[in-house]
Amino acid sequence: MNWICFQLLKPKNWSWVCLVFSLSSLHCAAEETPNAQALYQRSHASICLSCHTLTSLSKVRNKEVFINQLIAFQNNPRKDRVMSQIARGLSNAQLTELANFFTQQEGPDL
Amino acid sequence: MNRRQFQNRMSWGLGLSAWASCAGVQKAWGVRAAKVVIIGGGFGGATAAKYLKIFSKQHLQVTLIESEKSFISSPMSNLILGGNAQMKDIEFSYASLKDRYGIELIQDRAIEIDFTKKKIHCRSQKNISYDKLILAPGMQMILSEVDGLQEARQNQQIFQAWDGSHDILKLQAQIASMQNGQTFVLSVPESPFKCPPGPYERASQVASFFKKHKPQCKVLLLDANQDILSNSASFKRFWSENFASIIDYRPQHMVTSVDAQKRVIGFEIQEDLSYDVANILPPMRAGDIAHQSGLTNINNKWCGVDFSNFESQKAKDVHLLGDAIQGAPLMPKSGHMANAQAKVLAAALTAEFLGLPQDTAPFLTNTCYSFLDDQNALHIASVHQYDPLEKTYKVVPQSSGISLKPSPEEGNEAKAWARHIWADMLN
Repeated sequence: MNWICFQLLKPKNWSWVCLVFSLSSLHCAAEETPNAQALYQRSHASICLSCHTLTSLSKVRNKEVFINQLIAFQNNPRKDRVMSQIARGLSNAQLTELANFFTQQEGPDL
Repeated sequence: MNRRQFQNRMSWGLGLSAWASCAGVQKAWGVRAAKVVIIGGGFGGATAAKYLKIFSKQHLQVTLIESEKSFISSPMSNLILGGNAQMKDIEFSYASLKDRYGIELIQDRAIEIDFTKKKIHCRSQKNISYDKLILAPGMQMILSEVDGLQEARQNQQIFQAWDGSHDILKLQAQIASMQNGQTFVLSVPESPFKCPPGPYERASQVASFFKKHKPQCKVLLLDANQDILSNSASFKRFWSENFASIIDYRPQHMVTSVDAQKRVIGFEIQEDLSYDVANILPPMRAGDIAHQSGLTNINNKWCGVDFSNFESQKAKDVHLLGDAIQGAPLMPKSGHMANAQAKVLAAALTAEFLGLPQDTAPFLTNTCYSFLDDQNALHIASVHQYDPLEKTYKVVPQSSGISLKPSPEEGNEAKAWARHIWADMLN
């Protein structure tokens, strides 16, 4: 360990130290800068996860198909079904926002 | 420039630019040092803990103080009374919140809050500091509002089993030990209380148990309200078709006293009644820690909040969730509602720490299922949209509705709902 530290202190190795540091910093910088739109889109989408898994909602990759499914719930003649009621409570803007989020969602975590 | 010089300059350049970029992101996510403490690990508190970690991308420090070792769900617990579920079906570990999300779990009871010093004093003598505090203490039953009820509870003669605890097993044991032909009394307090359809579901489950095992037993359902608070027509129709000789529903019966030795209950107006097993639900208020901290500014029972971020009307940097709050119009005290509120609050706090503008269009959903026997269930559901002008939530009219009739299909949906919401808050 002492030998490694001694070697790292030599000026000729500083460039390597710097390279390693820069790579780790780039990893950190790759982290998404927070913004309100992304945060609230995620927050609104999370409301659906009380009843659905993220995996099931992210299966549809086409935005129009996703929206049409929700519109079909809105128009369901069985007005007393839970999902029909919930869908009828959402505006067109909310349907679009949810479709945008879930059809672009990658991976198993929100 | 030789190869070594080029390598040197490239490395320094890369290092400096990466450091600058990283520092920018860290500044934006300047929430690393911020600490949010949550008191209460129910549907609201546990969900808030998990989603604060998710929305802040792990940058916030989150601590959850909960007095119980495991989570016991109130929704679905009535099925135990009907013999249609077991304790293991509704009791879950908090471990994933720690292992998967890095939430600090403290098993303790918060007994005092110093809002000035931003410190919580716990029963174990531990002091916990916070930048933001979320109180999700649920509700507290006011046993003292029914004469004799406190004593009956202390003597283990009457159990409420309304707070997500192992008391449900004690109540089940009382019902199971009844002789055929005896009377079970269930009293419903005046609204508002936790889980509006819950007492009617409970009456149905006990009746379902009696029908199978003790068909001469009766359920006397004494309701302080004018009528069944949720899905009234569906409950009544199902009872008349299936439990006509078992359930006796009596509205406008407010229980004011109980003598657990003589097994007699007294009312505000009507004559006394005798019983064999009683499940008396008294009026309720916000959980003790909220009440004792002076946050119950609505009728000395419920906590008023600013619905834009669920901040207490009484204490800065203190936010409240779930059953403890004075809800917006038609906002029920339910597990689903607390779960939804928690997500909106988690996003609001994350935004505040980041200096981002408030969400002007959050919305909440609610679904409450009620089982009427071992397989038939019905629901009530709604969407609640925030109105930034009036600073409250309003039910979206076309979203509000109920089942036309109970069905096994809805029974399956109810079980799926429970599995999903438990996973959503704990896994």
